[in-house]
Amino acid sequence: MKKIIYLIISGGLLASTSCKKILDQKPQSSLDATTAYTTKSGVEAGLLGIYDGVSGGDYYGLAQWIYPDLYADNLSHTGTFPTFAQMTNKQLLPDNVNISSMWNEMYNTINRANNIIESAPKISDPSFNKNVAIAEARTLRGFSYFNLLRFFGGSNNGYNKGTGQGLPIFTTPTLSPENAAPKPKSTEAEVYTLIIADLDFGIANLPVTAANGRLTKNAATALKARLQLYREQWADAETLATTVLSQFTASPNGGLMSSATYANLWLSKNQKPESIWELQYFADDRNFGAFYYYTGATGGRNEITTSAGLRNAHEVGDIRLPVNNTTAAPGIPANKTRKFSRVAGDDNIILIRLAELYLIRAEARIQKATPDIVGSLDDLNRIRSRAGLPTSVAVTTTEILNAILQERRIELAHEGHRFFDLRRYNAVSVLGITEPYRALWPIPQREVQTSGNIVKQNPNY
Amino acid sequence: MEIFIIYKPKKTSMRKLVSMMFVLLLCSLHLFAQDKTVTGKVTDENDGSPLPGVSVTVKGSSTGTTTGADGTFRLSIPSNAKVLVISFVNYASQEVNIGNNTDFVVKLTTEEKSLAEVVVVGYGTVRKKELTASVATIKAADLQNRPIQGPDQALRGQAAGVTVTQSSGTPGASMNVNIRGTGSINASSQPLYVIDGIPLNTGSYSQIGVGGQTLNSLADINPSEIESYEILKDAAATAIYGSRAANGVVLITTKRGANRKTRINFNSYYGLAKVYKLIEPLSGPEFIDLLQEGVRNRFGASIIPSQLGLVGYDNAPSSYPTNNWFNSIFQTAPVQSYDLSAQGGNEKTKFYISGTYFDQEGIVIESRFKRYNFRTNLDHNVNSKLKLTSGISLSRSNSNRIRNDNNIYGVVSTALLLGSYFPVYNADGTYGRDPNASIENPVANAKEVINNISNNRILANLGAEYQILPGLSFKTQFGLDYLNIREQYFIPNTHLQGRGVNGDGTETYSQDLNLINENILKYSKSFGKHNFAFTGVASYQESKFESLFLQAQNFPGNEIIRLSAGSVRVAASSTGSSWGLIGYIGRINYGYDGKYLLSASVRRDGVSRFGSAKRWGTFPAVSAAWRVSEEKFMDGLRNVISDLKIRASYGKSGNAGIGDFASLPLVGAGFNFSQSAGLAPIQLGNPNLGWEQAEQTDVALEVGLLKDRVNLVAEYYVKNTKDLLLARPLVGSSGFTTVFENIGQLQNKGFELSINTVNIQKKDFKWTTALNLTFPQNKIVKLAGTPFASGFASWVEEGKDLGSFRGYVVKGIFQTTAEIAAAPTHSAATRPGDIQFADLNGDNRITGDDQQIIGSAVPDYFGGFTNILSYKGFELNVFVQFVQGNEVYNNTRAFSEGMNSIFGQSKATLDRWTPTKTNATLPRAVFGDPNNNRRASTRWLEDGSFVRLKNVSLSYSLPSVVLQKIHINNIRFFVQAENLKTWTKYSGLDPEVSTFSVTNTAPGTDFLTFPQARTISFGINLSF
Repeated sequence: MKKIIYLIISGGLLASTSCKKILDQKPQSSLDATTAYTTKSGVEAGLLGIYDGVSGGDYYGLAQWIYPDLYADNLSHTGTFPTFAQMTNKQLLPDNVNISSMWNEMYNTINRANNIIESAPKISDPSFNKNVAIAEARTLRGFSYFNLLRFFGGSNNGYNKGTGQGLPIFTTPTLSPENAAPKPKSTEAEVYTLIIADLDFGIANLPVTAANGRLTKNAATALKARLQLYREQWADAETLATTVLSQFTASPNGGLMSSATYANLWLSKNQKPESIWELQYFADDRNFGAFYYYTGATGGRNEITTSAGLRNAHEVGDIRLPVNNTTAAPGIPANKTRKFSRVAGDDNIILIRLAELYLIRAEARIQKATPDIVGSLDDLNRIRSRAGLPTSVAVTTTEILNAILQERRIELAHEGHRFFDLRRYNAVSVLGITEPYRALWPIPQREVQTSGNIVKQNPNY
Repeated sequence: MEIFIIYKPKKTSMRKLVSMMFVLLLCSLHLFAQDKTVTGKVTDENDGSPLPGVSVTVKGSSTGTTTGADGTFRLSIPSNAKVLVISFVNYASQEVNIGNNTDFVVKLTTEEKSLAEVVVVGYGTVRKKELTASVATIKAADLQNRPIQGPDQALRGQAAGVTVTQSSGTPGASMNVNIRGTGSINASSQPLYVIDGIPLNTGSYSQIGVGGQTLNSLADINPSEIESYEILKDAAATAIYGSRAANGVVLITTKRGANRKTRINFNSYYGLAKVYKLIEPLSGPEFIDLLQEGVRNRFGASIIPSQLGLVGYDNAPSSYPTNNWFNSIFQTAPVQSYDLSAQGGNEKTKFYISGTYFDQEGIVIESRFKRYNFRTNLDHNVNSKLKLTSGISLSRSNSNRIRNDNNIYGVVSTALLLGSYFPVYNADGTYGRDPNASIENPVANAKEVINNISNNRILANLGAEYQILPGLSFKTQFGLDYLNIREQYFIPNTHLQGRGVNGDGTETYSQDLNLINENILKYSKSFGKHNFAFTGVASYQESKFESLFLQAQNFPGNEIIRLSAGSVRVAASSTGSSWGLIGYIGRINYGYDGKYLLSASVRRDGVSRFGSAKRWGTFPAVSAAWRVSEEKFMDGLRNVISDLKIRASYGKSGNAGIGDFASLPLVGAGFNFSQSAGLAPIQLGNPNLGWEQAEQTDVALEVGLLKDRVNLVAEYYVKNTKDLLLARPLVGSSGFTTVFENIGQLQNKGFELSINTVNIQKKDFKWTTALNLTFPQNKIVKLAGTPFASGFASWVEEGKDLGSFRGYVVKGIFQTTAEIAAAPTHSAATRPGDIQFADLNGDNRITGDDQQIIGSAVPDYFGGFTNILSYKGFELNVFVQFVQGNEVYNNTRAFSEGMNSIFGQSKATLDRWTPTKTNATLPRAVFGDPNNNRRASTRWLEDGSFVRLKNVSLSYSLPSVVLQKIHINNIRFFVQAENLKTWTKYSGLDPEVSTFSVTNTAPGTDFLTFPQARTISFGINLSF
């Protein structure tokens, strides 16, 4: 009997010796943040994490290109999300959850970038190209601040007008709760300074070619051309566009897809050189683009549909019409777009392409101090002729500018440009917006509240 | 019929067994024949039925026997024996002087809330009269025949201070159990469940989202194996469970064997469940009329739906047919349970074995929960000093689940939201569908999608207790809770969701292993009138969880649903987590003369989840009671006041119900891009993250009147939860949205009243009443930073109830454009017929600032009221549950009365504003709702008070005269009804459900929720 008792007691003691182990548990599916980015492989994976942020549904995976067309006249809302209805009605409330999700996702992406920008220089592994990694991270950061500014910054009458709304700027990683203290908005000009510095670093350090989906020197240059267009720095926008476009002067169609293969830009993937930077999606890493367009019967949720306005804005014979506004066919619902056709979610998403650069340059050329009418029309007509349309009949600078803006609406439909283009020209009233402050989106109510009003709400919301 | 088939052969075999035992009994009598033989019969005083298995012993000796099937006994006793002790479970023991008698007739009375009753507390038991803490006991026998799935459901309405809400009426759904209010904001607010010393894994292990309803791992536990539930409420009772006790503890004790003749019990019931309330939808013509009107109101009188890209809504409304989806998705659903057990033993070995089959179909088609349980509890005394105890329970449950709540493929949700003119099936046999809608045909949602969960669970414990010296014992116990869950989920290409991807299959596997070792040293000693008891415990627990998730798409048809057939592998991932806990406990009880009682305990806990600096916590408690009725000066009043006790307690317990690694700064995996592995920061660390602490003070008065025919417990408690484990909101611009910190404070206080009375007690007629009543109050005393929103309209703000609703205040409906012009600016698109909201801040514009607290989900009071009437063999049990003074946010109506989209609408929308009907209660129909009439406002807030006839049961037990003839101990037939009738002003399907069941901050919200059923069942209890 004594033996049994000793056995019992020693059993109890045995359990107590493993004490320390019981309290010392380790996570199995995540890493300690203080050491995760101290190795080459960690930083490389962290770099991909930034791209993943851009690809997310609250960023370029959906929000960034749907909202500017829905809060404009290119898309109509046929679905059931009340928060989407607010967009199509141009009656956004600051507590609209789509707005805060997008804001949070964009800033989350920025924080991922800040981590890499800080960690990469400390990697001593000679096989690691620090500058390229930093250049990618900084370009992605500058790009993200630019996208935030497009929605939430600037003035009622456009961008870079001197007194516009800026954004809170975080340029170092948030590693502790203290780092997460709210910061007031910097000025619009300060945000541009940051974006330009980031993009310039990218232009200087990014490689000429890279794997699909990764940034290149051309991509950063093109993004900066877009930025300078918003900032009305026409000469610089032209120069930057030319830097890229001049590489393709000898190529067929100036680097563009042909008329015959226009739709393949989306139906196939990575159609270079027209596609400059393209987010990559696969069966196991998806976006919801086609799902939001497609009807129930074709596997989607019919949330959005090409608007009658966009459909009717096409000229007769425009080969882009069937891309921008589908006709029903087996497996293809009517009034959607061919730019998103894979309802399983593995459509790639093109972030910038040569056609936009031609239109940027056309606009810059007609807008610069000494307008270059011939050059501008050349660029415009390159887009028109690819679309199967005759050369433009516009003559005066105003006519040409309007023709370019019309061309942007058609060429860049479903790509998230329309609302911003109208903002740039103080033309949101064409959308029926009678309250000019609605040219800016409200800062998410959650952000304003959580900051204790340190992050100021945009005027009138 | 089945019942009798099972019963017959059993009867014959029992007879044999009985006669064999009789033979043995005679033999032993012959061998040990002593000086004197006495005989007798023991019966129940109430009905005169013979009591078998009653222990008859000679006082002060080991000589004894038990009564036979007919209640008689025969015993040889020493000639100097003076007193016989007659004792039996649930009956008051009697002592009988032997004198010169040789034949005894003993009538035993059942114990009336007897003070001799023993209450299970943490690491021990206490006689009820000596209890210094707040513990509510629920005897499982009182709930025996109710169609209850799991132990959490059993608690509803049974004890003061305990709130049980159900997220959904779906079979096997989770319950939200709060003991003395919601005790936390972001950490768990659920109690700790301990079954025979094993802390249970709780919560949902499902990896497949199906809407608001979650899976409930407590549904694996078979209520019919349970003997009693003890709900530990105040700190004196809970603090001994330290770091997990802040939300109270539910101790579950399973049935065990006894030193008596084996009794075999068979219990069974069969019932039918049905939905008891529906929301009536518009007819097809009414729906089309509303839709066309909404489109005209928004876009102009000449605009028809097709111009917006909406297909099929253009024709004259009268040309559309009508289909009420509810008729197709609700069913009359059977529920059945079969439970066979045996209980018995001798002085050395006692056993309880049982097997149960439970099967419940949901009132919504294609939902079902089936469960098989097996349990063996075995106790063995190796010798007078060493005792071994063990218990093992196996369960297997299968659920067929359907999606619900906030889910476009939910069954109830789509039945409500799909327009009423689409047929269930088209002429060609395909499902009728709205070509415009994202939502699927409700019947397709139910029938096409396969979503099965099978759940295996083992609960086992093994213990050895050694009596080292008189009064000193040592016990060691090992316990295990192992559960594994397999999910199989397949969406075929015949369902809209599976169409685009050509079939979508998911399989998951999860397992959780929870191991515990506890070593308990007990010592007790009496000196004169002083009684001391000491308990010391060392407890070690470790839990390891792991799971797999696999998904594939693009299947060759819908016949093979295993993932091997899917050509596109979408997901293959696995994860694991773990936590550990060490606790050291000491407790001293002191009593003087049974009058003055003191108890003090302390537990020191270490938990792996917290920051290294804050890993260990100390949880003390003290309590005292004064049994006034034991004082001399009360002697004169004893006929009136039979019992009077005043008790008070204070103590501290903790809450560690957060993520396993919430204190660590983490970078997560899986943030991949372009098929290359990516990493991203997922959590900010906080090395100072520590306990959430609940300090609770409790004072109570316990009164027994008229020989305890009236028992009353009045209790007041204040529970301050400090250092809340709060997900403090961060500005999104920092890259994070929350960080876990110990900030904030919550107060729950309240008054609890329990009254039990025996109103009438005659020979054949008895009427008893039990009432429990709770007046809860809840306040967020302190919060980190700014208030925040939760759920649909819930709001968390300092100084307010946890469970507050916030929104706009409806002022009325605009009748004219002049009114709109004169009113504060709503929107540029506001027109007559839109809602006018109150401009609370007076800035002449309706903005986000014009919102205020508009209600609270915290009731003024709630409780349960049970009346039991028995006449001869008949018993009527009526259980009423009630809640008063709470609001429910009915988000379902924001959709079914939204009049803003293609969603199906309810009949209520017939009373909408039109230029010719300006006295309407609802605003105009307008597509897209530019004035945002649907915003969170008082419009959707409703009184959630209700009184519910929760259960009525009528049973009949055969008289003992009949039973004796057929050698059966007891036969009872019963019929009962669950949720028979509900009185409420609430317009939704069920005022008692909450869609965010696991979110502490958003209670009382209804959104397309699967309602509870009304169940009528009948059955039998048989024991022999």
